[in-house]
Amino acid sequence: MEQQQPPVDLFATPIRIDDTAKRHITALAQWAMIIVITAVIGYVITLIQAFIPSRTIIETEPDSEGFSSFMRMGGQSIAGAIFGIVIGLLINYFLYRFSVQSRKGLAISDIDELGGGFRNLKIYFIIVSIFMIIFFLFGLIGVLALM
Amino acid sequence: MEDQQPLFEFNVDETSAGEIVEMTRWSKLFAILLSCVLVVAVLVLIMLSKRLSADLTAEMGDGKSLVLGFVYVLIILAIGVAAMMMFFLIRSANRIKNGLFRHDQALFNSGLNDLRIYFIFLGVVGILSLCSSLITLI
Repeated sequence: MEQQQPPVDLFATPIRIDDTAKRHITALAQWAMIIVITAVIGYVITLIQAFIPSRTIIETEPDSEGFSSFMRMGGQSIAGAIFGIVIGLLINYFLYRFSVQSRKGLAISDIDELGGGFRNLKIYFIIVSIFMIIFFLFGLIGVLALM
Repeated sequence: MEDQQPLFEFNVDETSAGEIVEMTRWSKLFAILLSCVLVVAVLVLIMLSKRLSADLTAEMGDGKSLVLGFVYVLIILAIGVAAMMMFFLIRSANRIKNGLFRHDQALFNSGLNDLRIYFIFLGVVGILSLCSSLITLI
């Protein structure tokens, strides 16, 4: 026998943003902001780390084929770091927007603002899902190559 | 007779409920994808374990078992943390969605709590990785 789904009516007895929900969403927003701040500091460190080895390479390795060592090795690592940082900033921007908008929504008791916050969280999950699919496909290719 | 509603509480309207439900769908998809990545990571680990062991024996000799053990513990710890994060994310998606559809306030709130736990995990992992980056930099 088929199991019957309950009819969807979001207004029968509406869900409220009560004290407990407010507390959880506030904590969510605070942790989201912590994640964004740590990520941004991490990007700065990544940039510094990308620049530091390139300097040592310049001092230790001779030039070849008309390209300096900086261009060959340091340039690649800097380009990779910048690419990663741009993607990371894009992802974290939506987490930041979620944090700011949801806290504002709770402060002024505005459901539209809170909904906007959750929309940003949805976009964050969409972007990380897309990157996870790409990462998964590369991983799968890697596993198949190992076989 | 109208329901008494505290002054600073407000209802979730249709638009916001739609946004929240959409958010739970995508978060669930992300958690499922993360679990697939974990499975692939475990497969790669199993495949590379022999090669890793051979490389370490060539480089370190007798001290390899200690290093290898440490590496395995770290990897298992990382997989365990990722699995827990995934569990809380999937549970939060289910609870928030079911809470909204069944008009169950307690279920909705517990879903938000699960999402909060997921974000706490993510934050702690972020802080730890930042600390390790700082140590590497210094």
